[in-house]
Amino acid sequence: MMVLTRIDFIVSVCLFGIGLYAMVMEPNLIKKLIGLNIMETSVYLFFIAMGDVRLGPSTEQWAIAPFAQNIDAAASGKVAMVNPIPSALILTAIVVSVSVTAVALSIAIKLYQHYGTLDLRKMATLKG
Amino acid sequence: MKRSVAVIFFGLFIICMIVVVMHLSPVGDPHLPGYADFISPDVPASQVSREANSVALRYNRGSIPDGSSISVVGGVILDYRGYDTLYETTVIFTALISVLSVLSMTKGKGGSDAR
Amino acid sequence: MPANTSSSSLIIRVVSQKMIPFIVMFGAYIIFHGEVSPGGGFQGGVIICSAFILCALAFNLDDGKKRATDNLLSVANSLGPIIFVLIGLWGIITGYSFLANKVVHLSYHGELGTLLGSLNLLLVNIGIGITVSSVFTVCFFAFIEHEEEEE
Repeated sequence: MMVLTRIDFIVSVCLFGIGLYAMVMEPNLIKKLIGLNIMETSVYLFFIAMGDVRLGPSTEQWAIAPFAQNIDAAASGKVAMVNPIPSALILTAIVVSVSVTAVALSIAIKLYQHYGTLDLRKMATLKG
Repeated sequence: MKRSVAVIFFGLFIICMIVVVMHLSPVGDPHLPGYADFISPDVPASQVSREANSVALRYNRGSIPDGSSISVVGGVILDYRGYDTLYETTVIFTALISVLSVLSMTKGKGGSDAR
Repeated sequence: MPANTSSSSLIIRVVSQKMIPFIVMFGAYIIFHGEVSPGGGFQGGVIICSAFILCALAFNLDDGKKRATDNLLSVANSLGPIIFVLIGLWGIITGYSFLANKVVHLSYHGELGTLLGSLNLLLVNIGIGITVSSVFTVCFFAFIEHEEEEE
């Protein structure tokens, strides 16, 4: 039960570990970028899970979507609306991460042209 | 060998983070600061902004009176935090400029073009 | 990257030809309903951009470049921030702060919750969608063309 109520956090932490493993251990630059994206996704999942509000254990008491037509249901006190701030922040963060990925891919293309490989260990042994 | 050591290390890392996460409050705990107001609907929307940690409640209840949008998340990112979205578009624009400038760099042979 | 040779099979070409208008229409739907439903400029812009990328992958790249020329894309890149700033300046012109929403009379063309209920958010969404779709299309074309130059 203690695990089940925190399953979102646990999944996000596992994703973070997988992404960190890919970033540290994989020598390929593209795989490093994939690991970076997995880490970002884990942070998104953690934020969105923190925005959830559950007033009780049953499914009817879980939070409803933050729309204005749900205000009356939320004002009755039986359910709550999802906190909109983490969702808005994550929408910003997704755009920034996509931009970072685009720039990193362009730099990876340039490195591939220069060294002829994407392997970081081979790149270190080659002389530029 | 190296890889198995790394797998063990990152497994321990994940287990440590799970132990930390298990000490957080469960998902959707209404007693987090800022969520306690959801239970008491008596607070009018005009006084919400004076309370501490109640920005979410202010957004949820004030989206109709402020005339922003019926989708609260859309209202937050486009209306309440309009500067954020404005500079987000400039972030995308800057990313495009940097991608084009990096890709159009002349192929120098290891700094030999510096001569 | 066989982008210039149009070596994709008949099935891919026919299916993508049939699907591309619907993908663009779905992206436009996401953009236009950004303030009454989940979605918005960024998401819809990326969907429209995926239609362009599918067009460039299934057919050859020159067709895509003919339909989306550099001039058009560079105008579309900067259209989003320009629309956003103009909407913000409209608040100043009418005597309020930058990006003011409630007090700007653009907001009251219809009931809140309909498509024209918050018209300035709709215009901002359209601008963001144009910018995002064109920016990622330009990024994709830049990557592909760069690969071709090398070969």
